[in-house]
Amino acid sequence: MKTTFQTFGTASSLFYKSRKRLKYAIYFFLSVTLIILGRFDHPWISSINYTIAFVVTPAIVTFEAVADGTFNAISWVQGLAALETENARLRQENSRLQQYRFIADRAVMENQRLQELLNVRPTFVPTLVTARVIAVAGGAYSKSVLIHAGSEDGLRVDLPVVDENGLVGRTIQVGFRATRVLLTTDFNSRIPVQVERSKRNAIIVGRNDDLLRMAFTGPDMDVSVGDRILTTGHGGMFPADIIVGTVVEVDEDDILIRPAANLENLDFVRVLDYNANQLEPGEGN
Amino acid sequence: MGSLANASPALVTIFLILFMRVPFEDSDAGMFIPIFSLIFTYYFRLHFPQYARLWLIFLMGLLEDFLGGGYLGLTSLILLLVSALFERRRNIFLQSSFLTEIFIFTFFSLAISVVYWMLASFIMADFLPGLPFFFQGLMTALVFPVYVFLIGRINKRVSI
Repeated sequence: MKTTFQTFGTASSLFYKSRKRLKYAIYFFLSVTLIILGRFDHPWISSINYTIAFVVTPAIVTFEAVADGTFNAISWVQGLAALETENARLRQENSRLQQYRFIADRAVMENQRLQELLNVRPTFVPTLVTARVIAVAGGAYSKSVLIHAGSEDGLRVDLPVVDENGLVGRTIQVGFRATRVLLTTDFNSRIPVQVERSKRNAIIVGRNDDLLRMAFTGPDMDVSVGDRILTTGHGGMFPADIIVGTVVEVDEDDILIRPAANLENLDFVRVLDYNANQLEPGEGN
Repeated sequence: MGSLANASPALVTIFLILFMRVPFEDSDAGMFIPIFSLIFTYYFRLHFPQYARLWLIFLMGLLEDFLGGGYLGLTSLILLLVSALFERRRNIFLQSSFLTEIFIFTFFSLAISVVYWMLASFIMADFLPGLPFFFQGLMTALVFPVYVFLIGRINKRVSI
């Protein structure tokens, strides 16, 4: 027969186990709820992401600044050893760039003259926000990065992001000071494109690795290895004529494209906003 | 000092989660970062459950999901499953040596990566490539002994 003490011990043990099970149940329920809400893009998920970004961004930025400072110091020391060679290289590059600048200036003047002759409406000038990449995703099923710019800089969801070489991706989650950019290589990425040479349209799909796949191609798709792939502007998300990549493989099953953007080594990116400077009706005539 | 010693494993883990996401030169946006929260949950729920409260595990999972760009709650769910699993089997695993524990965790990490892949594919309603999950599980397993050594040293220093 159990003593009072033993009964109390058994009861408190049962109570403890029930409380633990209740805690597990609550957290399981919260996790599943978040997953379901995220699957259907509920606004609460954006708010939660916004809050997490607000809390976490300062820490990430600090780490990034320390890491960057460290690498800059190392690079500076390494650079000291190669000053003379670097100087010679820079002098050559400067001379080449001066020539390109002369050609570019002439092209701009000729372009302006032709536009005046043809009475062309002025094109939109995209608003640019340049931002530093502060975190890489490193996940198994998501290819994205965090950049240090957010709603305080005027960013919104679904803005195109580029680097000096081409299209990087688009903004998908915007916090106050940090924004997530979905890379073109992500499984969920879909971009309407055109083969520059043949002007054939297709859709570029991410594969979660370092190459892109061309989808929705017709049987008479005219594409070859080496062809450049550009955005078409269809759908309104990506403006036209941004370089997406270059075709590297064409076979019966797949057409594969290597992204033009340096996704392995993203540092600074630019967020384009073509809608901010739209002309009012009647302007530009 | 006592509360710092109690908090140091979680703080070190959070530091590692954030630090590994910093874009170092030549770091690939697609490289596989170990799941430190998984190591934390496995090791501390097993050996020192007072350092690994459920709310902490849940929040770490959210942090991993936020930084990884995945669905919020998925990593938390996986970590809670791990915690619940080891809650019931603590006595068995506590008796193994550290070398055995490394082998167990390696097997376990790869098994979890399969679960991760299945859940992610189910949620996204598509058959995701499995190799990235496998490599991430492998990376996590490789980091496990280093993490345990590091945490042990830091905790010892903080506890003095």
